[in-house]
Amino acid sequence: MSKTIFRETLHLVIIVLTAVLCLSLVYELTKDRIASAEENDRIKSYKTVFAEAEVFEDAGIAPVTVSDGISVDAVLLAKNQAGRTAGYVLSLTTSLGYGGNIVASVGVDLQGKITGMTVTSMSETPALGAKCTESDWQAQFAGIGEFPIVYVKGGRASGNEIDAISGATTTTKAIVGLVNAAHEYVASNLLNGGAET
Amino acid sequence: MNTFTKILIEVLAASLVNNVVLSRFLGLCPFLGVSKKTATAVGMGTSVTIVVTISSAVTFAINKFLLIPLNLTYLRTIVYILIIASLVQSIEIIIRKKIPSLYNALGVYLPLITTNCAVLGVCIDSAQKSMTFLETMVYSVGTAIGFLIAIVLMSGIREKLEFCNVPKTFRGMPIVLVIAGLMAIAFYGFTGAL
Amino acid sequence: MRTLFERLYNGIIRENPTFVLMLGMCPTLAVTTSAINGLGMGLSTCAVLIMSNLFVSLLRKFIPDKVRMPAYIVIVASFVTIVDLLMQAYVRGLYASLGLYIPLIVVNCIILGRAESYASKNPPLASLADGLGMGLGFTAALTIIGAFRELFGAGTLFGFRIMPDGYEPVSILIMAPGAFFVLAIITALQNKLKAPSATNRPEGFKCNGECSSCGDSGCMIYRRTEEGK
Repeated sequence: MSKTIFRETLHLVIIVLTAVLCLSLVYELTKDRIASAEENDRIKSYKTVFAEAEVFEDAGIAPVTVSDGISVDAVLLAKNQAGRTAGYVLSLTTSLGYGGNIVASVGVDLQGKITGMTVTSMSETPALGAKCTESDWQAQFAGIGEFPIVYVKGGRASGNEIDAISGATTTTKAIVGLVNAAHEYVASNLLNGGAET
Repeated sequence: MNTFTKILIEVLAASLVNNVVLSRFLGLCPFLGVSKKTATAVGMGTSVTIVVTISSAVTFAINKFLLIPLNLTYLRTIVYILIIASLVQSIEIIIRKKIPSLYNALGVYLPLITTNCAVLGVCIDSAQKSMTFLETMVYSVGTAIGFLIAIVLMSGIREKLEFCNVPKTFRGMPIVLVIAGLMAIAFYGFTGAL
Repeated sequence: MRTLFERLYNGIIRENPTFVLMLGMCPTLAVTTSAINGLGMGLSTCAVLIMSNLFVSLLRKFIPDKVRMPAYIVIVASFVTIVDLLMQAYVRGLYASLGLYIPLIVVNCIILGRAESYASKNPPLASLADGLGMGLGFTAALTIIGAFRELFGAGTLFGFRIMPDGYEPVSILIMAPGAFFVLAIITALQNKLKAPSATNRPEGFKCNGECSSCGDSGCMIYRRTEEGK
């Protein structure tokens, strides 16, 4: 009796050890590749919001809640080829979406103009609010220099207007609020002119 | 907002807004398979609640004090499923020895839970989102309550359905899936409510 | 050679895991919001299924009968982790959209079910063919459901616009309730056409059809505890 238990346990242990060994091997082989792919993904998402910059450096600013439901999680200095700071990339979270938190990166240049916006994580309704991840819709934010940004239903006209996602006003409102907060944060904390705080 | 309100909101969000069965499709098998009678549905739901709560606490500890310090997070899947399988076995043995009346009620459901993806899903999800211990517990209890609510509601509807004249084509699984779909629409109503 | 074709036919048509056996419903409903997601999930599951069937079959004499479930779980979980790591490294877009459902392949009833009911009793090559057949059957089913939901729910197919601009997408199809409705329609059609399916053939299943969607692995454990009493 005890002999069979011993044999069974031994066989199971051998299987588990072999499995763990194989896994650590595969892990070692893919580790570097995964790390570099993650890094690439991050830089790529920064580049979509700040195409001119080459290098992104952490500005070392602690996460801060800027208004009710919106927080700035990270600030990066966007540097061009010559190594001069050309603007900022901010990562923000808003809890004002329809299906929980929306995380987005926003690029702001030294003139306070939005260089781009991309949603990095959200759980909005598919086919409605989830359209905020479409690049066509996100592209509207690039180049806006008049604030506050407002959303309109169909046919944006003047420089500070954004077409709302049809059927998803809450999502639109949350993201527009997030981009406005990003601009305000940069204008009052980082740009020279308005450094009261 | 004080901590209590926050916890309450998180529980409601995990159980109703992101219902584990109806919006995330985890634990569908028991939801469709053992929801014919309310008594069995309550038994299954309670068993899942117990297992989810205990296993998310244990896997949290393993993740925090073993996998992360040793840099072995890539072994998470294999470690978690083994922990859940052995936990289910141990819970079964303990209940059988100590609380025979509970064992009589829940005993048959416990072994089925090992392959319930809601349990593994909750544990992996809270580890991937690097939740704190309190967040993990609130999230897992909320999710388990959501499962209990969904399966008990479903069984109640199915018991009433026995007396209905369902079109022949839709008898059996199709009508159950239609009900699940309608319940999912109803649960969409909770989105944006919090 | 004949076994190979027989196994492929069996997995894809005669015992299609999704349409006929109704196994692995969680990923079937959760990730089929688009054809590409369905295809990706199907192929990942297929890869795990082939490898786990092969190794369970190779080790069937080595694995002690009493601890075979933990042994199968270890084998399946290892291959799931390998697929997980490879996808993280090479197909990141797909990995991001399938997310949590990749590690959950471990608890997919099809895989443990095939290990128990086929691979543990048959030689390696036949088991490999069985895994391939079942995997392709699962992939085909998920791709078809995904394509249907994407085409009518978003008007696109594999990301390309198919429907004319005037088409108003039935967006509920790619939302959660739509998944249940699409599957309801499929099973209703099977009932209507009297096509073989777990939903209309209760005697063909071990738990009197009651576990129709939980399938082999759960029932198997259930049965064993019943026997053990």
